[in-house]
Amino acid sequence: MIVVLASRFDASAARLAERWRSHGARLLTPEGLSVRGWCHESGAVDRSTAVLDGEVVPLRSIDGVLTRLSGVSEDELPHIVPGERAYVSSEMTSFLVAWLSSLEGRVLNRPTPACLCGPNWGMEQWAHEATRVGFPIRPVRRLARAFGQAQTDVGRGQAEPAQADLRHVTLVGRRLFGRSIDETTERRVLRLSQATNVELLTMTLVREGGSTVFVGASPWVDVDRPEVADAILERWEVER
Amino acid sequence: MIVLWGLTGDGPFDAVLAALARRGAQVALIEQRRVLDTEVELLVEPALHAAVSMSGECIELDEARAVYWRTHDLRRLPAVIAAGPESGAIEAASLVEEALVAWMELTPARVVNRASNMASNGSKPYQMEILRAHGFSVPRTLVTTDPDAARRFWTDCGAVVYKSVSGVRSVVARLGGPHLDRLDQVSWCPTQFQQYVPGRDHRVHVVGDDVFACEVVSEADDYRYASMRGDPPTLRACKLPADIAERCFTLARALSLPLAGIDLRRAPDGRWFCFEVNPSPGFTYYEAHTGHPIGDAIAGHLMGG
Repeated sequence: MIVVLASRFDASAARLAERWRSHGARLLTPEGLSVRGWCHESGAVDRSTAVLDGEVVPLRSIDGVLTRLSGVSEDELPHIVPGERAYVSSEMTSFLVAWLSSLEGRVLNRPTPACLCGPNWGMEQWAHEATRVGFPIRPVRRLARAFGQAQTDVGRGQAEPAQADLRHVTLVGRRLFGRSIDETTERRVLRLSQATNVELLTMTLVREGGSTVFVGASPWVDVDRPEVADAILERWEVER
Repeated sequence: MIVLWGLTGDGPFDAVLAALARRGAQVALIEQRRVLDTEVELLVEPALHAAVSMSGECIELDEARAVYWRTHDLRRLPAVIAAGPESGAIEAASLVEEALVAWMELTPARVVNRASNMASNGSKPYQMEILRAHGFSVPRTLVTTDPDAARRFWTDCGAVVYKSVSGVRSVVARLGGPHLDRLDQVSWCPTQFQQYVPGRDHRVHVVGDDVFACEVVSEADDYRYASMRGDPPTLRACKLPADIAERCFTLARALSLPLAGIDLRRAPDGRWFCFEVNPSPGFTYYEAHTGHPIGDAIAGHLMGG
């Protein structure tokens, strides 16, 4: 059984669950945690159960979880009285951190305590990590102004590259999709994935001065692309 | 230069500030009360550069050798409240804090503690697995939306407490008869139940290489709130068995927390249970009762000791 954990507003996730229906895929949104039957017992995974599409299932029957949710926001909880939403969203997020972590290698991306779908990094940290694996980067500048002056400005401190020059590369496990890249860049992409423990990654690159320069990265991938969706499924099949 | 970010008037923050002053350290203070006058600039090119300015007063963060931070909920700051909820002050203040937190993740300076390393405390059942992996006994814990499972767990364990799953501070309370009628409400939200472990509470503070242990004598289920019920706990310095002290030190090191407040309980059968690691402990409460120089140890750590 495959679980797609996503926002109730995530139409791509709903389409993906439908596409994977023959593989037993179930869509789980935060509302699905307000259902009788969830049991998570520390150190006793064999006794733990989930509730998917109204059915109580043992944890061992779950082959893979695709997480497309960084945390549970109050918007996800229309069924909870407004005064309790902040508390419930916090409790559900914390529960999901523990639950997803207990599934270990079956979850893409693996959660961190700060984010359900991988590291909770801004542009600066991705740029910093990219540098460590050998990528040249475009500088990242963040300016958080005093109240009343203006909004925060996260940018590059230099002219943005034209959209047409950007190359978006999607990583699933060790497979790459998107515009073709040279061998050196491919090696760097894989090293970045390994160093950050992130298996699903969309990376934005640009050719500048004869080099492929790192522009940005995100643990979100476009699951509406059939080849990406298929590769995610295959990643779990390899694990099995 | 050592950067301190927080609220003057907060006990632990003041204690570190005073200890640094006694040691003659050069301190740059980012007063959280002034968050609405604060501007942060952060640049990764790939070298890291950062600066903070508050009403024209500038702090070059590149010169920071260490950072201690202990901020409070910005929505409760007087300036933010005065600006009003629709003013955009909360959003502006959040962006300033996010920029400082981002800088602390990247700076090579000693940081007490990095936000990413503190995050495990945000999910108690997640952290529980880490405690177990480090050799501590941990209480049986069930997080559930199933009232029947909660009842069975209660019957199996004999006595059970309930507490929040997240880092939201909650009073730990023993499940009793009056709760039976409300147990059906757990179906709205995963709720954490934990086997009640009798025994003597201990708070252990790890600061760099130092371990300070405090024994807490109290009959309350949650001694932090016992004073409010007219039964204040007795706190005294104590010595931990060497293997338990070493385990605390190793745990803090593994979590990359140079400062940690570890909650232990010694059960009547001699087992040491670990409940939680607090990455931003209010250590002055314990310091006042035990005389442990925790603030000074933090200052020493920040200065490279």
